[in-house]
Amino acid sequence: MTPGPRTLVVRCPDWPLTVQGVGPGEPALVLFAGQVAATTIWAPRRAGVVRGQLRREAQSRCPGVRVLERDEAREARCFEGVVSALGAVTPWVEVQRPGICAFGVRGPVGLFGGEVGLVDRTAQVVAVALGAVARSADAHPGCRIGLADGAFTADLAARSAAGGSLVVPPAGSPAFLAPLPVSVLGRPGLADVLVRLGLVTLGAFAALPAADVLARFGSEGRDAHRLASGIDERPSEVRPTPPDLAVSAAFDPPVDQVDRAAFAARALAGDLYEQLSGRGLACTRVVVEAETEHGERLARRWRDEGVLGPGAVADRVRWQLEGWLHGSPAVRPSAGIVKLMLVPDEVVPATGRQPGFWGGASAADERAARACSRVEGLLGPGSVRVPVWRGGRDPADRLALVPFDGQQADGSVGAGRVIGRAEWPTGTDRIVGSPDGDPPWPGALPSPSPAAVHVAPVAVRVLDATGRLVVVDGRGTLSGLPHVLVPDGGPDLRITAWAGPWPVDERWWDSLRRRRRVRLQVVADDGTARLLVLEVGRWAIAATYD
Amino acid sequence: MGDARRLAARCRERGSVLVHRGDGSWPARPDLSLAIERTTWMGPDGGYGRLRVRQARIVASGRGLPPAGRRVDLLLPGPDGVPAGP
Repeated sequence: MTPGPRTLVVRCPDWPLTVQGVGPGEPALVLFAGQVAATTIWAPRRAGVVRGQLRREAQSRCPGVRVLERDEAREARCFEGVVSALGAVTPWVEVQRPGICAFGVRGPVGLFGGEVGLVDRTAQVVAVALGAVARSADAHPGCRIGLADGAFTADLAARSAAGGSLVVPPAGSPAFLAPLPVSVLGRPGLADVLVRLGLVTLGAFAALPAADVLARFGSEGRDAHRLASGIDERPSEVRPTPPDLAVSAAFDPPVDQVDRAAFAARALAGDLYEQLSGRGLACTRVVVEAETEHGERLARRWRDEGVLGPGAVADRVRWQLEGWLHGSPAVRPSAGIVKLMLVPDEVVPATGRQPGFWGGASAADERAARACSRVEGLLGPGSVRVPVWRGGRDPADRLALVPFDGQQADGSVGAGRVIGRAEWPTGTDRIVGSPDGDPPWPGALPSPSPAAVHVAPVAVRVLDATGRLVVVDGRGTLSGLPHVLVPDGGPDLRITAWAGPWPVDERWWDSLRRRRRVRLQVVADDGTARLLVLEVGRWAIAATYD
Repeated sequence: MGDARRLAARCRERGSVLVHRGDGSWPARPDLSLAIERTTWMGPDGGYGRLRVRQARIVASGRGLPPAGRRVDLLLPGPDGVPAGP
């Protein structure tokens, strides 16, 4: 039950904006995958723009805001300048992600005359480096420094350091953490339960007996409880790394392009992950090492609060290579890279993942994910898209294609669902099925789903027994019983059974996008069932159950 | 033709199955072809109900099967949403 080692965390707030040359005074926001990733402090945040919002919502809350796309490569490149500048303070800097880094203070604290001196020195070094990135002192919001027992407390100290730095005295973590809300634990599910139990602060959570927390919330709860009590995250579980787990790749001829090296890094990360998981281990900190043709050795530590999966390691290597190869002349090596090495620096026992026998994560899923990663490596990021289920009233709305993400390698991509094409084959019909465990969506088509949804609905006429066109009145009743189906340019089909009409009135509040339709399921005498849709007086075959 | 054979050989080697969907022709002879010979949807009744069950007669032909093919009746989907026997 010892507190964690004294750790200093440097946070550069709004890093995605700083690297794009946006100062804190200018209203701007950075988008990533269509959602707000960061905003400047004044206008947008006051207007209620928060992370995760959609662009449209953010712009409606704060008109006139400057919208920028996120540039992860540049973030990594610029941050390497800051981290290498910190080399003047300590060589043991570990990067969490571009914008946040940490180091243990036990060594450097003696050199700079105590913790306050160390914090001052760090602030100076970072300020100079930030000035080089932003090119003027008021174009960046500065940095926040937190020093406390353990990285978690130090990170929170840095976040709440309004004046630039905050030092939590040794053994002062519990008192510092006690008034903070449980949401800072970064576990939304757990925080939600705790709040409903009336435990709104870390102090209230930490006051529970550890054994009871373990019994009720399992190992995740125990970890969170340790953090809340100011005890280091995982002192008991960290194992010494067996020396033969490092993986490396040699380049001949030497590489000076990020893409080529990052491609090799993706395979390396996969190897590392396989080696570790073969021993029942997972990696929380990895050292990226590179050797150049001139014999220079570059190394940087990356760590993550959670466990680094193969995709996460590959991303970090890519960022690091960006920083080295495209960074400022001060950090750029003088020759191409001849060797790249990944060393797992801190490993923990893997909590285990049981591949499912039927469905769920299986070896086939992993293979499919690996194949996707490879294709993505060949064609570039974002080239592989996978379909995911989402809600929708129309069968065609219920699938969306999202860029394949290596993080899904944990099996959330079903083997049968992975499609390695950038687009649906145009002109052909989409194939849809029915998802499992879908939340109810009022107005959705009942299952079974149609086998084929027509991209261009086929115009058709529905006639009653007297040969008149069947229409639907404002109350949703049919003018006659459907008897014959007359497709454009096809033979007439007699309707043997039908169900409906089912009115669908969408977005009636929006005069531009409202749609009013009536659906009818019919079975014709050829045995095939069809979904008919009546919209503005015209019938069409929207989907076929063949 | 050559590409199709190579692709098929690669699939066999990797323990996978290559499925060609639709009516278009595939240059190589398939090991097995499956087709629906007759299909009947059930469920809707004069405006009430919805599509629930489909009776289908599947005909399989190809290697190791009689020339006329083998026929089997299935429910695709059955009453609980998954394929079922007749």
